[in-house]
Amino acid sequence: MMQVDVTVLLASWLIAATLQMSTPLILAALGGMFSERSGVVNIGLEGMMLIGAFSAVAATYFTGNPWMGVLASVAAGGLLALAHGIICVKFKGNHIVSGTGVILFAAGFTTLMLEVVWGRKGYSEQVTRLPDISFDTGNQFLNAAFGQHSPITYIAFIMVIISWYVLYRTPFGLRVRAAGEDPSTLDASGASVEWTRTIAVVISGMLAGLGGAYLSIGFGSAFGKGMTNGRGFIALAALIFGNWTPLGVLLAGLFFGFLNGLQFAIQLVPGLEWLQNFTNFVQMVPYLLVIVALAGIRKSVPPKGIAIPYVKEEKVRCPTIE
Amino acid sequence: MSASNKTLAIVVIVVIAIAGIGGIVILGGGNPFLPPENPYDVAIVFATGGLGDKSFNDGAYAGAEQAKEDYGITFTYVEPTATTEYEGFHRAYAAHAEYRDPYKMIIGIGFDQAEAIQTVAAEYPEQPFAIVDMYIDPTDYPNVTSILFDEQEGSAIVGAIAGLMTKTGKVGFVGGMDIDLINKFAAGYVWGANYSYYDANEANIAFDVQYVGSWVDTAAGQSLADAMYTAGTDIIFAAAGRSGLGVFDSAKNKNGTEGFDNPLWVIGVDSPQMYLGTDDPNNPAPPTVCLTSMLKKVDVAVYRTIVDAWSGTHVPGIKTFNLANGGLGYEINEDLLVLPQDVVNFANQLRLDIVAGNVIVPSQKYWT
Repeated sequence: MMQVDVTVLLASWLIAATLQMSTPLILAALGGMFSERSGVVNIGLEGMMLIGAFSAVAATYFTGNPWMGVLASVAAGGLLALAHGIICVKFKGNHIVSGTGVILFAAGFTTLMLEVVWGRKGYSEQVTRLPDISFDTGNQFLNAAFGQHSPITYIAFIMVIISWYVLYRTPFGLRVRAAGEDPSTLDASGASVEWTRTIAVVISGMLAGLGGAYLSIGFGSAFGKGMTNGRGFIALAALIFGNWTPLGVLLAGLFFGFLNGLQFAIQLVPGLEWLQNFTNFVQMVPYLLVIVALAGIRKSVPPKGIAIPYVKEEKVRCPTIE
Repeated sequence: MSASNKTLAIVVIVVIAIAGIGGIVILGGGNPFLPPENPYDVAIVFATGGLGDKSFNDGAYAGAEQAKEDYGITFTYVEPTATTEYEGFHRAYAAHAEYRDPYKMIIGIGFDQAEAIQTVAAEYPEQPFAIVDMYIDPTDYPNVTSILFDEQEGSAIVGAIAGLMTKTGKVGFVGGMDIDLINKFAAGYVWGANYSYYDANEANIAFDVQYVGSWVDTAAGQSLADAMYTAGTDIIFAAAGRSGLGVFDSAKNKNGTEGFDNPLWVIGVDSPQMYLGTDDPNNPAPPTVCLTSMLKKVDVAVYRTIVDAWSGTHVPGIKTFNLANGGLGYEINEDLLVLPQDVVNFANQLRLDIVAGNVIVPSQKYWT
């Protein structure tokens, strides 16, 4: 009897953990979607999350208001992404090299700033968390699963809807997709490929930064060096597995978040102890699935113009006039 | 410029150069072509977690600072960011290319530096090394000192406290990774919890031993702790580096909320962490969710190793730190939390029994 209770309780926890662990993944992957749909590869999501996580704590520390932290994380992520965008779009740099630079810069910069701001290494001081949105559903199971979540979790789900609308129902979204699929057509229509791509990359950094803020002040309450722990790469995996669409990103993010919770759950549910040795295997599943997806078992279609810098055609004089 | 002027210029330059160098040598500056004297006695290569982990690296740093304060022993250090960097740093210190004389001791903090130290120690057999938390065979590497702790002893004490304080009869352990070192903590903790729980209730205690799979992922640590508290654990011993700090967040968030009526407790590790369990750790004031901390006094170990090396009384081989020689302990901070007297008495008695050898604490997982 007691065992059933524990299993049920853990099931409700697993739902909550899925939402918690998928929030940063969904946000960062949505960001990656904007960038990549516009034709700019963004492997720097990890770095943008990290700098977002740091900025959120730093701004909260100085203002005492965690919402200022959220704003700061979005701004910092956007700013770092702007640098990536300028390198990739304006200077036609290699997207992968620039993205790697973003990751390394964020890791070094946050470590340095930890020492500048708090005079310590590795871990910031504790700050006020973003207050959870909690409500009473009148049912203990539902309360444990849905009753208490960070506002950023709600924002993540709202962002999925907004992203879908922006991408498929607005002129800007059309331009983003055109910039990624067929930039010369977009250029011919009179819109600027460079601006479209730059704006899309900045949006990606803002979303990734928000995902980082969730880790540091939405779920936790402090910044730790390297606290994103590869989530930017899992977000990339979610983006690819989700086939560069908002709905796909949402489902892939939830699924990877679920796996994250599952690896703990299988250690705790009575009767599943024999699965303990497979927790590392569960951790590996997201990456495995991406390889499977990329290997073509499932059709995975990246934007056509991705990673190709767009160079405007040279103006040529029309020979017939001469 | 005529040819004779050129010659004169060269002669003047040469004379000035020789006079300058001679002046430096005569005035006691030493030979300018040789590297300067080594201003440091000791070099420390920290673990990848870096300073600020509030436990391991910080403890080692505190020990070195103490040695500096007491004896003026100077030290330098690096904070590698990846395990692949260890070997290069150890070799750089052992080669001491920028200084004339070698370091009296190079200390590697953390078990994962073993390979790097073995490699470099073989290349520089005259250079004394020490490694914290790892056994390196002194017959193969006579210049390497292994600094070891009997973590199971200290863990047994905090386990005994947990066994008496639990209301649900279920205690939890969150480890960083499923490795022998961490399982020493787990074994002592579970053993100690059962020891006291059985003494009080004549029944075996229930327990969950889990691993985050990372030392830096606070969010994952918090999520795992949420799950364990949900599953009926009310005291969690967190031995998971920075991931363990997530357990504190979990306890604070869940304490008193629906479905978690019991007070939820955390037990800290390595350094005194009771203040981390308060609402505002910058101005710690009761209440705290941290019951006690298992103190692994890396500072004591590093301090003694450094002082021994500096004073020349250093004996290579194995240095073991345990309850008996003060290398381990548990935190009491009555400003934040006063444990019931019988719990304190029980813990102290167990400590005496372990020191006297009346009871032996298992050092590896003894359950299946």
